[in-house]
Amino acid sequence: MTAVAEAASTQAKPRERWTDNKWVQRAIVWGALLALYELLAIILGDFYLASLEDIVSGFGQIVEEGRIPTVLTSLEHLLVGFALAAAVGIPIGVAMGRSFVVDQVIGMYVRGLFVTSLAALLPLLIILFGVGFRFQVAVVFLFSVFFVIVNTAAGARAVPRQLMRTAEAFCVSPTRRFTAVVLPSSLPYIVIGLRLAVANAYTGMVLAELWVGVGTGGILKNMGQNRDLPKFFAMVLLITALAAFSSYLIRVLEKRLMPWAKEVRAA
Amino acid sequence: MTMSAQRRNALLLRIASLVAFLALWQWYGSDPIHFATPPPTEVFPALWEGITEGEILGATAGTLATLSVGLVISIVFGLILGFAVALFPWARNTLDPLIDAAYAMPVTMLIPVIGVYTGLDFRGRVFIVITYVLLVIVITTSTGVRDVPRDLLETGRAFGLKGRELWRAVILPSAMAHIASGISTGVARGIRGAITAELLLIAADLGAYILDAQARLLTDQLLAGILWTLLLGYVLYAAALWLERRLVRWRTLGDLA
Repeated sequence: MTAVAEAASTQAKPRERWTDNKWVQRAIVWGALLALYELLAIILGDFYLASLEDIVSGFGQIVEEGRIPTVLTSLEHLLVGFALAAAVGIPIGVAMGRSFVVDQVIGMYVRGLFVTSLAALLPLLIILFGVGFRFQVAVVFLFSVFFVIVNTAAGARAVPRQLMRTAEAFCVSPTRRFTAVVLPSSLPYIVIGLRLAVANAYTGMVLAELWVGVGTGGILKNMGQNRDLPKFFAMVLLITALAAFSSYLIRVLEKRLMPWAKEVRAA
Repeated sequence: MTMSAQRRNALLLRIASLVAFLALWQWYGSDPIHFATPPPTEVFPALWEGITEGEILGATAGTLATLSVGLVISIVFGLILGFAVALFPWARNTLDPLIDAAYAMPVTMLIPVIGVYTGLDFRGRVFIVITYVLLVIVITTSTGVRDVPRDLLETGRAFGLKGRELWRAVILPSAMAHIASGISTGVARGIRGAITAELLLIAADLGAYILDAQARLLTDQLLAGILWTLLLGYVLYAAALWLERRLVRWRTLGDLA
């Protein structure tokens, strides 16, 4: 029980009841929500909401209609853009975190683009790159790279001063200092940056595809316009699961590759 | 290096960087091959023209209206939900996983269908802003209320505070820090939602200004619109951060001193 819940609860502690089990509670509330949704879907009709069994069969229809290869192509764009963002973002982030001059010279652009509305850049990107592969990759890249840079920079800044001093005192060469001290202690931040970046990369991917009506976004646009809601919702659930899974995958890799890493907060 | 010398160096470096950026842009944009990116000497007059003729300011007012209505609704419902999740075990056990799942969803995907429920105009744009902002407020509020530092809580108890007094003097001020930073993040996400809606749902306000320039291939006006929109997002977030720092400092000093 958390400190606050403790403070808020009354002094006398009631005995454990079977409704205190969280899975019992989940079964009740989630069941009620699903039933409510189903009821709404029946009342409103299939123009407004797709019933649950239709959504389930929607998954089958997506596969039968051969939509999966399209989704895979979208994921390929996502992967290329994301890999580019990591390859470019990590070195820039380290440079920003370790060097005062670099931080001052490019930090303001990075932080500015990190918080602002990148969607506004899409019309320019279309003129520059057309509507094909390069455009899709560029949008995914833009939507993910700043998360990588900002968090990597925070990690490189957070290298314990004592550790650096010790390394200097033992005459460890700058290159070795970098690989043995700076990188290991920034890695947890880099990983959290990558996780946020991949989540945002999905937003970028969908946005770019909706814009030009190709790939997964194009399918969603068509299904939405035809009010093919069972398939639409099935597709949305599929992409959401993929996005959650990608972020989970990075987390698992982190646990496997560096079990010593501590939990850090995103910048 | 003294503090002021470092500050002066930082300022000089930033100015030099900005000048270099503009010079580079001027050099790149002046080349007729790069017709899509006209130089600053064409973009800034276009921006000035857009502002003085009222087109940009009118569009900005529309965007800000969408943003503020969406923000207010998100904050009201986000606080209610956040407090519910933090205080009632039932709400926490059942809603937390749903919130996490919803947070993983790229909400932009919903744009093709939401017009039917909300209309494509103002209400639809406000709805998209809410989908971008609401969950952040819920999450920061519930963590803020839940994660009151234990020593603060103990100190409050040691001074004989309990129930409502403990809430007023310790829990709420401590949660305020989280909530305020959630609202700042909400402003940044909200403007992204508003601009995305104006560009993709149906052309409106600043989105319409940009799309119109693109359609007519007025690249100077296009870049002016994009630059203005990027700056707007940045300025709004910076203002929210500034407000957050003032607000939170006042709360903690006022109530703990």
